[in-house]
Amino acid sequence: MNIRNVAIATVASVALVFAAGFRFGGATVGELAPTFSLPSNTGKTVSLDSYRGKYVVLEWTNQGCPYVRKHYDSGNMQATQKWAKDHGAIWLTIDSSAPGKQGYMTADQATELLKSAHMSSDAILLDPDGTIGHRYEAKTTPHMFVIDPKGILIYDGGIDNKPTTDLDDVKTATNYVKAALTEAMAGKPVTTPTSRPYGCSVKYKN
Amino acid sequence: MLAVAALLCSLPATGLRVENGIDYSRPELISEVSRYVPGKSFLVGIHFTIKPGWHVYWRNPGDSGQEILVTWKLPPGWTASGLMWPKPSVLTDTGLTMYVYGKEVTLLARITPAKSGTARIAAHLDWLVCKDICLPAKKDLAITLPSASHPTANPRNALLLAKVAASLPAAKLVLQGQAVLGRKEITFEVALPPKEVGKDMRFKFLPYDMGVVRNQPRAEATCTQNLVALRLPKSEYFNSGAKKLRGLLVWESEVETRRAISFFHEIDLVLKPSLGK
Repeated sequence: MNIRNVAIATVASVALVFAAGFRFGGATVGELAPTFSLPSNTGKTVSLDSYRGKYVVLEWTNQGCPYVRKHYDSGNMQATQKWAKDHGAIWLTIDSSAPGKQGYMTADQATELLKSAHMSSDAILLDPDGTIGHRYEAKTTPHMFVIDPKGILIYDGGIDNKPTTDLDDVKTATNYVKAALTEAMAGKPVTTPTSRPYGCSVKYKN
Repeated sequence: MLAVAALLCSLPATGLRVENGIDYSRPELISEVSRYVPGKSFLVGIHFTIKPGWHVYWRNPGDSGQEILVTWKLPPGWTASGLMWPKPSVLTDTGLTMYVYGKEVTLLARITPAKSGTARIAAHLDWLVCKDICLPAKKDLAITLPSASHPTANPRNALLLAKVAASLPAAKLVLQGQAVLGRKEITFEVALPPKEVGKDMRFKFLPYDMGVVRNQPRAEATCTQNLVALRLPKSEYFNSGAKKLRGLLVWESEVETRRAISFFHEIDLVLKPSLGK
């Protein structure tokens, strides 16, 4: 390694430390969304980077959580997934429940869920160590993130503005994910770029 | 066929057993009077008994959960005050911070009755109870009270409600000071009652409102005699319409004895934008 290479390596590692420093403390709206690679339900590794050029929605889930049940039993989450897909977005459902905790799924169980719950997600990503959940500071299930085609985080928060477990509330709620995608796709700024996510705590590994 | 499909879809993939939060947290509506006097307000309480290991949530649940929601149904002309919440415990779990009650808690409200006659005081409750999992619960509670020309206490209830009332943040001095809203944090300085200042002080700030400061188990503080300056990171879901910093400042302090004693006071400060850039 000559001096020039050492210098480049040093600059690169400093940059890496900075980048890591930036990311510590979660994802920030208006900044690049933290990248990740996670195994999907089909066994394939899915990288966020591979979707550059498209809108990406991240949905944290735990199918045993009553707030998740509200949005699945009412059909609201599936309808939002389908709407986003029809508008060209990629939808990744992420499970950060640790083995033995509520909501943990094996790859096969995730594949079965996609079918039985009539989901339109492109994949269910398995994060049993919680690494990516913690990187995004995913707090609740559901907790939603929207990333634009440049990889910038444009929404971080709840699915809507009615923090209850009542199925009926989805009819009168403002769906923030749909709103963010609609506005961003029309070239407008997102009116509500953050909201408090509501639900059960993500069942992370202790 | 469609009905069968719908039934199958509604079965959770994880084989969840259907349980109800009421099995783990039982509310009861109690009144300090057994007979009321028209126009004379009295205290009622919603007393929760909570199974070991389970918890219900404060007015601000924190990073997850849901606050207890109470909707009063009162006779015409009657009014209920806002709920009065005892100090909660701070629960931390895998990086998340929540404000909760375990074992038992009594939420208070002051009822102001209108005209005389037998009255039904009812409340609809919506809440969430969690341990390692969370269960929603709902319950309608009601009590019937006759009127009288002079109040008649319910001694057992009156004792409990008076004890709870005396322990409420509202029964203590509200701390004075100022809060400055910066780009990434909120800083504020308040004067503590000198008698509650001691060695090894450790602070917590429990915000009343969501979307103002981050929920965290410890607050960064600098003390100069009885003046304490705190730095709280702004909430990642900061509500740009927030005008105030409200909440409980809780601290432990070794005063005279060797044992750390816990103190708390209410904070209600106007948020002033920082004068810098």
